[in-house]
Amino acid sequence: MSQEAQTYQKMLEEVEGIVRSISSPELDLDRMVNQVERGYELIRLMRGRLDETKAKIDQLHQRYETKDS
Amino acid sequence: MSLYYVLENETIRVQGKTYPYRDKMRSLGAQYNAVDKTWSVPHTPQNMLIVEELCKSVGGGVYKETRTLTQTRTSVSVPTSLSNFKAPSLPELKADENSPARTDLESVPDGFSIAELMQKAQLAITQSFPRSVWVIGEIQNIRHHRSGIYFQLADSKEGGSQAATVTVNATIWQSNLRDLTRKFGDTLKDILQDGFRVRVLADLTLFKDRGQLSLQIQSIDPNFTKGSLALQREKLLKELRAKGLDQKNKSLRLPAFPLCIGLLSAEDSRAKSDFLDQLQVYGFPGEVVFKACQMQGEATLRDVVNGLQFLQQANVDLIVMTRGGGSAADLRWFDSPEIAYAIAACPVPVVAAIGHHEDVCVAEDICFQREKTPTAAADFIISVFQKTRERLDQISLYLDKTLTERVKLFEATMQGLMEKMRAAAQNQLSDQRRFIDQAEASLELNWQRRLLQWGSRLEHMQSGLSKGLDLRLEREKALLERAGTALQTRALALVERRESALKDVRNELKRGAAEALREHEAGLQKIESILRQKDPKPWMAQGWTQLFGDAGLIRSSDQVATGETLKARLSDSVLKLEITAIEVTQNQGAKE
Repeated sequence: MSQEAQTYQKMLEEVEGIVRSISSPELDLDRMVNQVERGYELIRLMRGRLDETKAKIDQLHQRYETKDS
Repeated sequence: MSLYYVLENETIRVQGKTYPYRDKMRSLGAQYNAVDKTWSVPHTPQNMLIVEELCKSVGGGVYKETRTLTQTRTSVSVPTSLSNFKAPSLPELKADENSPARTDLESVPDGFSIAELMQKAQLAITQSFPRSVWVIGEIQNIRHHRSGIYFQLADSKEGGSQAATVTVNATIWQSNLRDLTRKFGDTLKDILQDGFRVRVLADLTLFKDRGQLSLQIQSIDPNFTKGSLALQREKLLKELRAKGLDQKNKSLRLPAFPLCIGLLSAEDSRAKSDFLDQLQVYGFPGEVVFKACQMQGEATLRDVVNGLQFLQQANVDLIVMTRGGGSAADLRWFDSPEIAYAIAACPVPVVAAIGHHEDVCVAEDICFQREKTPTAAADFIISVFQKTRERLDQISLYLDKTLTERVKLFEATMQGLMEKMRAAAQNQLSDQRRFIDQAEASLELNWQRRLLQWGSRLEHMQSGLSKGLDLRLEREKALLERAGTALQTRALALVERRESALKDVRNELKRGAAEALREHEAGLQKIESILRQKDPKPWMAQGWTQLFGDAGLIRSSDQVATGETLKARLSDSVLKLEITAIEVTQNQGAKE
């Protein structure tokens, strides 16, 4: 697994942990706010990463298509 | 009663008390004659010696018949040997009719008293022997006293014992002894020895007190004794010659290197030391086996005979029998038959060096070598080594000369052979050279012919090989072209298949990636949705908040007390609230 994938995977695990923690009724409000903010940040980073990946795949596909033609 | 013997017609007749010795007699091959009660023993030297010893051991000896003087009333008996005397013998007395003894004997009817008898006898003797007479006898029991020399004269009975002989006492008074010594010197001392036969001039006297005759020696005849000894010696030598024993020891072979010498001599004698010293001076390389023995006196016979036997058993190479100075009379032991027979029977050469005397003893006469002194005996032994060495030198010279001649002859023969071999070899070489030249020419011819053949065959083979290679190359080229075409076709098909598959994979990859991205996007949207649902900011913006105490979230008034401080979070700040009163609402149950 590549470094980027690991990073993406770790971010995914962290955000899933945040989702589980904020579902707890005992969670402090201050902590919840911080967790949610961190969750949004992680989602933003992960989405950016997905966008980058998609663009790279498209770029590669186009390179091969050009080469074949 | 003792045993006596007499030699009769080649038979030894033994008589006397023979019964205890009957087995001994039988062992000698003797026969018993019951009529005269005698044993007849076959006469041999061995039997004679045994019979002599036996008779001597019981006090007997040679039997000598006596004649009884029946003409007189007395029983006086006189040995017949006395009849040899030049003086009138006793039996002759009876023929003298006018003698006073005869008259007195006849005039006394009742007999004489002993004193009268002695007186008459002395008178008769004096009348019968008015002057000194020569008497011959063997000296026995000689004794030297200050007053003179006393001994007994006995008839010389060869082999007989003293008891068996007729003896008469004899005396040389000191006054006569001085005269005789002055006259004869040391010869007298040599002659007056036990066992010597002497001729003496004596006066016959009768000791009336003991009724004993005695001879008063006035003079002595040394030449008789010497002659007697010489006669005995000659007799023994004759006997030895007759038996072939006189040359027996001389005929033995003397060892070339007598390294083991047997020495017979008296212990601590000058002869022994002189002999050994002389050997040492010359560096004698061997050993000396010494056997001590008496070389004078009666023990000489036994010691010398035993010594010879001892040294024979010791396996010596040579026996030296030597004695130093001393009385010449003691040399007579070396004239004895015992020593003579022992030397003759000895298988080892015997060298005798027993005295500086002119007469030769029997032992010296029959031994291997006679030397005058012990030193001369040692010189003789050394001379044996020298002679052996000279002989070896001669042999060496002879061998050297012979071998030199043989070598020269051999060398000449070898030279001739070598010349022949050289000529033969040269001929052989010439033949071989011719043969080799012919062979070389033949080989060269054959070789060139063979080269041509091989060249032609090689060209033919080269042409065939070139054609074959061309055909083979064409065939291989066609095969390669076909294989190349097939390979290209197959490769193109394979590439096309791989390209198609790759295209499929690429499309699949694109599709999979898009789907994965979509799944991730959906997941993120789902999480975002959850976060939006849980986000407190919207409802905090509407004025909602939560109360917190030291124990955590406050859900009921039961969790707080009046005067306690609580915290409330707003969207932009945190409030600290103090409880002043607690009012329980009616929809509490609904609230819970």
